[in-house]
Amino acid sequence: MILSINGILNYPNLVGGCASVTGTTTTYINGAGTVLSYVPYTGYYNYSIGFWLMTAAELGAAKQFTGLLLEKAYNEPSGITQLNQTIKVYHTTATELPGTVNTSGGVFGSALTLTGANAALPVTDETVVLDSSWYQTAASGWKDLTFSNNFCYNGTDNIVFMWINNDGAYDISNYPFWDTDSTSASTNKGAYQYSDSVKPLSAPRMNVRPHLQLKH
Amino acid sequence: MVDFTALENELNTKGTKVIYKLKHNEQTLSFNYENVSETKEIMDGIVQSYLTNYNITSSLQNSEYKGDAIIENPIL
Repeated sequence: MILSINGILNYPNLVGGCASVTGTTTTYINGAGTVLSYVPYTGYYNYSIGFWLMTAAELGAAKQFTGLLLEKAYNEPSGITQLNQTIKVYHTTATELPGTVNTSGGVFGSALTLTGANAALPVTDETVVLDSSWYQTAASGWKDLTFSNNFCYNGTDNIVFMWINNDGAYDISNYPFWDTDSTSASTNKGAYQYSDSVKPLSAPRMNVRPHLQLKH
Repeated sequence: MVDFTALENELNTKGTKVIYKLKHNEQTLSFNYENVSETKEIMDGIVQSYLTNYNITSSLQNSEYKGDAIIENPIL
């Protein structure tokens, strides 16, 4: 009986180098904080970019992430469709974000990347988990976003999310407000920028992350 | 008790109103003014002077002052 293929003997739940999907949803970020409209993205401005880092201690063993959920604070009159959303996920050995998180790639939108963009934030395994629109219902509570491509977390490194909102429009009546975490667990682990007129290619570091569940 | 009308009247003297919208039982305020000549610090100071228990997020670009204010301890 062959138990080891390509060195996965010690990880029996790994298939093809990626953990199996278990159909589980886990709450990873849920600490005290304020309600904000721009973390991790904003529907109140034409453009935004957001980053947040999660540590291996928070994430635990290797997993295959299949989606995320954000916690919407208020009921809104109607649901909202966010056009042109790109979310990329990376492994990193960094334990916090640099003072300014830069991107490379030049053109705002799905071409932006963290690869090679920050000396203090080395990243690998770029995975485009979403590159399309996202509809969320009007009600408050956890809002579900299913990835188009899953992210194979290796169970060792930290990970970084990059959320590019290239909608180009905003909705004053229905834009969402998000529950966030500003406890010590989120210190130096978030970065966000937004504008109606300038497509942001970088963001200043902040001590806040979105309340977050991940599906795996 | 927040005097939202007085705040709106003062902001109206600083620019052209695009949006001044109270939502969520007055727990949030969205605002957007064009043709603003004051600095962001001055505009934020005006808003903060009325909304002492709110977190204010704003931007001032191309003479457009835009943002929102969210009560510190929201009743969700």
